[in-house]
Amino acid sequence: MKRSRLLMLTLFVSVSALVVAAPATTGMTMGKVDVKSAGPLAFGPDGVLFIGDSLGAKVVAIDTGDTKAGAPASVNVQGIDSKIAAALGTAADQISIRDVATNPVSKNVYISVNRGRGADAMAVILKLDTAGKLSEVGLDNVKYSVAELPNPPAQNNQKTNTITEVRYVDGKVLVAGLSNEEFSSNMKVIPFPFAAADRGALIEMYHGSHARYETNSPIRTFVPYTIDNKQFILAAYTCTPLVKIPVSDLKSGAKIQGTTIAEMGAGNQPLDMVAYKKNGHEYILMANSSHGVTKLDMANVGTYQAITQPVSDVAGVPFSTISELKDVKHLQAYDEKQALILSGNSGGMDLRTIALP
Amino acid sequence: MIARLALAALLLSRIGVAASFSIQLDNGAFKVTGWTAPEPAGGWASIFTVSTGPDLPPLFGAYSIEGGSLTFHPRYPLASGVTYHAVFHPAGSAPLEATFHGPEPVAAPQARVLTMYPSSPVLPANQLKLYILFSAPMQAGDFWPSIHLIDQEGKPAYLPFVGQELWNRDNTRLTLIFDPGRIKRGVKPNVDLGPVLVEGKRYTLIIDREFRDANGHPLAKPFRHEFAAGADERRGVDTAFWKLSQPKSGTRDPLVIRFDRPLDYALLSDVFQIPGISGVATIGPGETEWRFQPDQPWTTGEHHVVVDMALEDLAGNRIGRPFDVDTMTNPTERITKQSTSLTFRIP
Repeated sequence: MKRSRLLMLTLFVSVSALVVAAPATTGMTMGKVDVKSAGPLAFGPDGVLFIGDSLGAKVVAIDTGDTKAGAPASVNVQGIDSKIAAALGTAADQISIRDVATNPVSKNVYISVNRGRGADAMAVILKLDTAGKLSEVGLDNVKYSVAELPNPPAQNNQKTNTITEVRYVDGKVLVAGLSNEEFSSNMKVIPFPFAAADRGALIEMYHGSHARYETNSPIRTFVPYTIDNKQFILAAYTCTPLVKIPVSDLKSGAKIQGTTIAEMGAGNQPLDMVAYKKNGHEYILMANSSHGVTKLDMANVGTYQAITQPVSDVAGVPFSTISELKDVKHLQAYDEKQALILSGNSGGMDLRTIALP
Repeated sequence: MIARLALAALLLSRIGVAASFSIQLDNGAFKVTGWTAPEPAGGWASIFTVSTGPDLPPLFGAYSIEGGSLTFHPRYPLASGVTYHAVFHPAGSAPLEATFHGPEPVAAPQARVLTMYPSSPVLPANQLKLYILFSAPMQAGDFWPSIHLIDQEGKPAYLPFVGQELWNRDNTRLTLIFDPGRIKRGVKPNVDLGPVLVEGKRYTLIIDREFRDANGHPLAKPFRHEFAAGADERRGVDTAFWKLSQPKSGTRDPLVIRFDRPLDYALLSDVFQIPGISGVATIGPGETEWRFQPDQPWTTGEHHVVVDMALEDLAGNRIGRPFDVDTMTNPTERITKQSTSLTFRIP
């Protein structure tokens, strides 16, 4: 009796373990995946890499198989654009690096690149391993799944939707984008693993100002953030407010008004954000198109009320500029103490880790 | 002593063989002709690489033996304007090097800017988008320094556009979105700096020749487009103000919808449908008209024009919903339907 109980217990534990451990790659298809344009990258569980494909109007998930924990490392590649261009057999001014993402387990860095500058550019995904070796992530024979996004009519060659950010949060893939015709919020929430023909829920994201004017405006970038054990996203709109939105509100057909917690100033687009803790304090590091890299002090952000009054200077959460970081185009999490930055200009790009400030 | 002599002979024979093979570029593949030795332990890449310069990683690609030649197929096609250095260096031999050039650049006609939309000479001061139409596909990336907006004193506008590239599928139409934070009332950029465009002033959009086409060529000539800024347009679009023409039964006269204000050029191409009737739609002058000529003569009776609610005017105001809704006066104004319908009767 005692033995059979033990056996039952063992079986129960095994079955439970099986259910819990079902890998995120289950149900993926093996074969060639068509990626028309390489865009934003994000890692999900079990080495799954999400690739935003604006021209293909879809998000592709691939199984990188890259699940082995890596040793603590850092990255420092000068002239990463020249090196990538060389490996792709072309000149540095003929590629564009679209995004970088760190595999949170292995610490290998994945880079999305378009080879060519015209409409016939080829999408390439690269891996930079912790030893500094650059290799191509094959898309011709890979385990993959695809979530199609609401697509413009096939006969319409004019309308496109540029994916500006992809993130995996709590079993959902969140996709932000900007249309070349409509000015509207374009947030899509797609449960992962992708179900067949799931085009994701379109959510209208409003934000207010002075508790008066309200705009259905596109979100440029966002980052998952936990406040008091509740999952939020912090989202930066094209018209600059930074808002917090509970992930539980992101439901199909929902119309959500985010709470503005900061305004980042004119002539500027937030490009990327990283949330981190240092010495017990919470911060956001934000790369901006013209305001450099800013560090936001997130202390007590849970208690912030929406900005409801006109503000002539810095509003909401306090922030400072990290003056030594220049021309940062992409900013990603690397580990608990470092962030990964892609910086530079047409004269050359560098990919390196920096100590979180 | 015998062993030493044997080694020398081997080296001599290898050097002798080295003189008899060569590196060639054949149909996009790099070939070492006359090399028949097996793959070395370090792989073909340990003895034969192609790169675009010193201190740069070799090209991605695959090796094979084809027709007795060691062949390297680059993963990506060779690019014009790029020089390729092939180095074959088997153990014990002097390296053999060869330099090749990518294909000649395409001698295509130079691209030019066809026009800009909105075409109206006066735009609302809260204008949201501009569309630039090119005669040929253009290069993406790094074109922002070639785009300028200056006022009537020649002073450049401070960061007027959202720095996000927005192309159509073949890179022939570029959308420029004015910084929405400068347009939306009550947000910090609007409060601090005010709008980009000021009513009563004149502006010129300039696109320099340096804007490159898909083949890397500059524009045939720079582009300038002048316009004036008028009053803000803050009202939602109201179809009740539109006027529909009355085509007669049995004719193919166009149905013309005249708007009370110019509407968004790009969206006008997409948003109208007349269910069950095929025909050709065109956009009238100044984007103030939509014209539809049916393929077959009109039939007597009631017809409908379905209008997608995505339609915007020049300032991003939609049907029944302004760009920024004043929630003090319209606390619940959120449109949920996807389309609206206009009815017209053919007599």
